[in-house]
Amino acid sequence: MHLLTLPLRNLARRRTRSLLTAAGVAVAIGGLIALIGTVRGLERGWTAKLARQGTDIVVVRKGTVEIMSATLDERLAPEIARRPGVAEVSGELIDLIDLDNGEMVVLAGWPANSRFWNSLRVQAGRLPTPDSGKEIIIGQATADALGKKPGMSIVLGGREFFIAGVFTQREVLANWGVIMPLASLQSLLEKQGRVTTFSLSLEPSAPSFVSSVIADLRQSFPTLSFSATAEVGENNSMLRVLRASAWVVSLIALAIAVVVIINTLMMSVVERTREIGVLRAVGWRSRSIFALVAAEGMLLTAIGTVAGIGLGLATLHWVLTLSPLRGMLEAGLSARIIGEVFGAALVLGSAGSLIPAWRALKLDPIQALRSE
Amino acid sequence: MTAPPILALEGVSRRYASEVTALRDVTLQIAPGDSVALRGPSGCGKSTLLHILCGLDHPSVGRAFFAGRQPGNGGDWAQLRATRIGFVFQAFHLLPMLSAVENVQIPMLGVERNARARRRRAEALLERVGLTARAAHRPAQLSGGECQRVAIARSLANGPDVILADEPTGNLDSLTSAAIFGLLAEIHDHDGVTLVIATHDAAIAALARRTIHMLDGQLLAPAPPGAGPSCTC
Repeated sequence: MHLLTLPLRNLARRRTRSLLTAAGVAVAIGGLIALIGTVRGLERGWTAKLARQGTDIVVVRKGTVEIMSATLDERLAPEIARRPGVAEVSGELIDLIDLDNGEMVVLAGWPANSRFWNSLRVQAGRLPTPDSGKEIIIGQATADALGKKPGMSIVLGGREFFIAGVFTQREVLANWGVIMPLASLQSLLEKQGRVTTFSLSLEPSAPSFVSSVIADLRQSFPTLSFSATAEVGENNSMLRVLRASAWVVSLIALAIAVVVIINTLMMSVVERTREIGVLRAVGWRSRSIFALVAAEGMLLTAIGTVAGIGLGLATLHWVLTLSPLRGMLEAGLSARIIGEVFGAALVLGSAGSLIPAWRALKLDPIQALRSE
Repeated sequence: MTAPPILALEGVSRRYASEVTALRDVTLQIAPGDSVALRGPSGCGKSTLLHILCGLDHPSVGRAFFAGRQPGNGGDWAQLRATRIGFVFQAFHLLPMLSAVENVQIPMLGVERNARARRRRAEALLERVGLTARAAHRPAQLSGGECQRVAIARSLANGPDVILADEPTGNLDSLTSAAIFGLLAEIHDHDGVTLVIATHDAAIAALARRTIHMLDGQLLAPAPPGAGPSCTC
């Protein structure tokens, strides 16, 4: 018998109630994991794609909330490229489009001379011919979903395009992409001369001075927003809104879980009043009684949190495979995030145990011994 | 030099918020190694007296002493109950989700850090009360007499100087009662533990070295031959 035997037996004694309470915690933690994982996945996928393309700084229109609806004049590219430290500027036009089979894919248009083309691993076929106007290259996931391969055609936005090749990328999002020369996409979307973002690569000596380059660019182009690649997710307004929403929903769920824990422990303390009196009678100190009830709360929280993490990961996996989200997102959970969630849940669970533990602590041992 | 009384009360009264007075001006001394029976009808204050003697309850007026010292109301008494005062209840008060051997270990949790040592001592105590074969059984699987033996083993967990027993045979038949009292008497004789038993059973009380009679919260003087006991106050 050890110190945790008593709280464990107490929980096992009212198994159904303990399991339901742990389930409440699990649902809250599961929701938190799924929501945070989805938002972090968006950030991580985006950042990873930019890093792979050699992008050091991303440029969008200042005040843009939803990036895809905002555009920039592509003629700004040479002006930006002339600023100190900037080695290359590549515009990119991006949009989402539904295919006939209901799948949603990312459309990207790149200038013919963009370094982005070099980042693609061509799996089959070749890159589109810049001047063809009708050639595209599609991601492996898109090709698999649609049963397409090089030489076949595909209808996008009512126009027929020929598949020149199939590419693969590490990022899930990219694998669901359809990429074509910038002019072709501008024509398809009727956004001639416009791009969604500029991606800047810096001169070899400049990366360590990214912040000073950004400061110069901000001064020179006050209507544009410049973010270092690592900060793109943090600075993006839409992701910020998503992140805040995810936390708010999660905190509400966690608050409910804490209330459930308090309720369960309060019931437990009331039911075991006489036992608490016995413990006092055999010499347990008030703080030991407090610790006993708090330990039960922490055990419930720990069990619920472990189950919740599993539930959250399973939910996240399931959500990411759902059409039309399939391929749009990837899980963005790291061991660190899971550890932080576990730690935060334990802190909340402990906090939730305080009220019942305090009540147990304040029980008059004589009254407790007389209780039925 | 004479050792101070192991238990002492000085002018103790206990009045509850409901205006009920459970004890009235009780002064009492119990020497180390003594065996005392507290006799009196139900509601005369025997349990309250025991509770005050072990610091579970506190006097409204007066003072309670343990070994010549007046412990504080908080951790001091808890420490004494953990290490020097064992308590046996009429209703056993074993924890139902724990086995006999685990119940015996409960008082040791804050005292003996070594889990194996706790287990060994609990097994030895169960052997002493004749329950080795029932060590793994839970209270619901034990008879009343067996439960009380476990409770006695629990009261001995940390080698106390005093055992306070509140109607320890009240829920048992006469044969089992005699066996339980025999066990308590053996512990008293063998270990030199001070024994204070609250009982309304004259036969049990007669086996104690001295008997204190109680009525309406007061101690009564020993009865002269042919007369009922009289009030000491």
